[in-house]
Amino acid sequence: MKFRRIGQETEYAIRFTPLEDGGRPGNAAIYRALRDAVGEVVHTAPGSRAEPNQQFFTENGGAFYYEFLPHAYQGGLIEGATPECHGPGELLLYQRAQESLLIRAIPLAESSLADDGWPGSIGLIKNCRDAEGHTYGAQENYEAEVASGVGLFALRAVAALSLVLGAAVTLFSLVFAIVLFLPFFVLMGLVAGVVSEWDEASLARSSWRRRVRAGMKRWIDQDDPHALDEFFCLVDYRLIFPFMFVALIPYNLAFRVLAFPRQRRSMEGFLVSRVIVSGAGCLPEGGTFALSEKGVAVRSVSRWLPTPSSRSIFDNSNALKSLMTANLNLMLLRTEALRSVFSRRQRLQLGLSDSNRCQVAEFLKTGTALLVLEMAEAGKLDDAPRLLDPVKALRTLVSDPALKAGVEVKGGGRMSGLDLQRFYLERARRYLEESSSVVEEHREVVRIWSEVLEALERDPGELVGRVDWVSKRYLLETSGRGLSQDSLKKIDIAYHELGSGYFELLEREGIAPIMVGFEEIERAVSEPPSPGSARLRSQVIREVSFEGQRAKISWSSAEIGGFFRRRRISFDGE
Amino acid sequence: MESVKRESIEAEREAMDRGEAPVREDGLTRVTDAVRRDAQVNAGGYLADSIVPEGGE
Repeated sequence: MKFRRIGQETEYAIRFTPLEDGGRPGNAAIYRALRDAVGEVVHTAPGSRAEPNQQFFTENGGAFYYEFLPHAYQGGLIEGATPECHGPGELLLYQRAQESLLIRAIPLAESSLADDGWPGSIGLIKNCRDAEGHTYGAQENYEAEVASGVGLFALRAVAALSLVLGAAVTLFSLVFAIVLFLPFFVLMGLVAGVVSEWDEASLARSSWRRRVRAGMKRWIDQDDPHALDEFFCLVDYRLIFPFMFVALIPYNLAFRVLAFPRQRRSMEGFLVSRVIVSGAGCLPEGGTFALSEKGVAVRSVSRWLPTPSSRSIFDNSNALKSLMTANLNLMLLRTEALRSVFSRRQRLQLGLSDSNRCQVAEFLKTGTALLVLEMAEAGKLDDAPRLLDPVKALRTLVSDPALKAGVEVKGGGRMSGLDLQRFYLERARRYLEESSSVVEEHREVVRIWSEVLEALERDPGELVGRVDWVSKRYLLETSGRGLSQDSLKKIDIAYHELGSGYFELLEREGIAPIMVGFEEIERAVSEPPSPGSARLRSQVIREVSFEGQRAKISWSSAEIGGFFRRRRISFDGE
Repeated sequence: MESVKRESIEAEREAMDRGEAPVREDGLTRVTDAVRRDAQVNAGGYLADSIVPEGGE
């Protein structure tokens, strides 16, 4: 068994219901209230992406961000990232610890917002699709060999060229921004000076003067101290990002072709059919039940653009972000971010991943993927079935709760989702029989995987509480019988709400099995997994928190102290 | 995981065959009743309060 780091990123939609009729704070303000509330429950430290994402790390080694699109700053989500784990059970434990921490922070954040004049209730929804069909949600990350031999050499060469190209683009963007905005701010300053000279009599005579002064007042007396962040994010997205995107095209293309070729080939059929086990289920706009929230939004096998409309089975957006970070760091004469770009082992990121509430489904989602990835790297799946059209096959499978539909495979023939899953299950069984050193947890994965596939074939109703799409469909068909479309959609969404959602009812009644206990989860809220870089990160976070030191934490290192007495601690060696 | 409680589907089926599964049946009825009641309360408002203007990632 290889020592492989795995992790999960989960985006939570924010619901806010005002207590009285009235407005609501923006999601950025709700995130800040939750961030401060989390800081009251556990030790925290600011992350290197403190602005504008307001990233912070918690003492178990995990992190939170405010995830938003630059043109919708106030409509963002909370993203939680688990610390680096080494198996599906541990990952499930730290995912649940993240949720437990947020549930404890909610009343504290509500109280703080009420003090600021926003009384209301906060709900955090662990799903991937809202009532209007906007998609977000979970991503899985597995450490894997990115390429070898000539492929690795070519990928590194393109990365080096892209860094040079990126440096040129960054310089050009800076000059462009200065040329564009310096006159703007000078002009605004001049206008502000003129406006301040206008007296009440002249304002009373002129309506355009009143309008200009009101506009200036809005700019200067911002209620939200982060309004300027919002402005610069928009500038970055509309003006700088298009240039940067052009610079990233060669690396994006090379990554699509050269990165993780064996794993992508071997895992494609597994991932497309995995929705029958780990799909969360949803009720899309047409009203026909689908097995997976992400599945209905996927448009390609690999991602073309780092934009929300370009959903894919394999995601490369973190690879592109790593290159951009390395590029910006190089401009500051720092080289540590280069390691992640040129490393042989990198992050295989899965975009086709639903946010699970059932612990069995979440355990199987990562447990089976980890096992299949290990087999792929060992060359045991070189003859795995290849889908003729993976995206079309995915659409077919997610729209078929009866699990009877077949999808075309290369070389002729059709296979159902169950056929595909059984193929991988049998290979996993054989792999474990042949392996000399097997992690016991792999056997547990295979046992539960086998039970779930048998139950799906026999009677999916047995899996209420174990598989999310089955549980949600059951509630829609029983609780939702004869109800309005809005009520059905509420079942679809409220199933996922942390702490008070409909899934919690299944858990409280003992219908949804508990795989990680309450005491374990409570420990994992403040204790890191071990061994690994999360342990050292956790130690640093506690130290700086106790001693009140200035610090910036990242996944790979910590910078402690002020500008002139800064010391750096690397987590990479752990 | 220390206190792993991995209930086997097979064990549950055997218990049902022995007539030992009323807890699950009663529990499911309580859940479906509670969900049905709540789903009809201010459903439109709940959906509006939980909209995400654009996706993340």
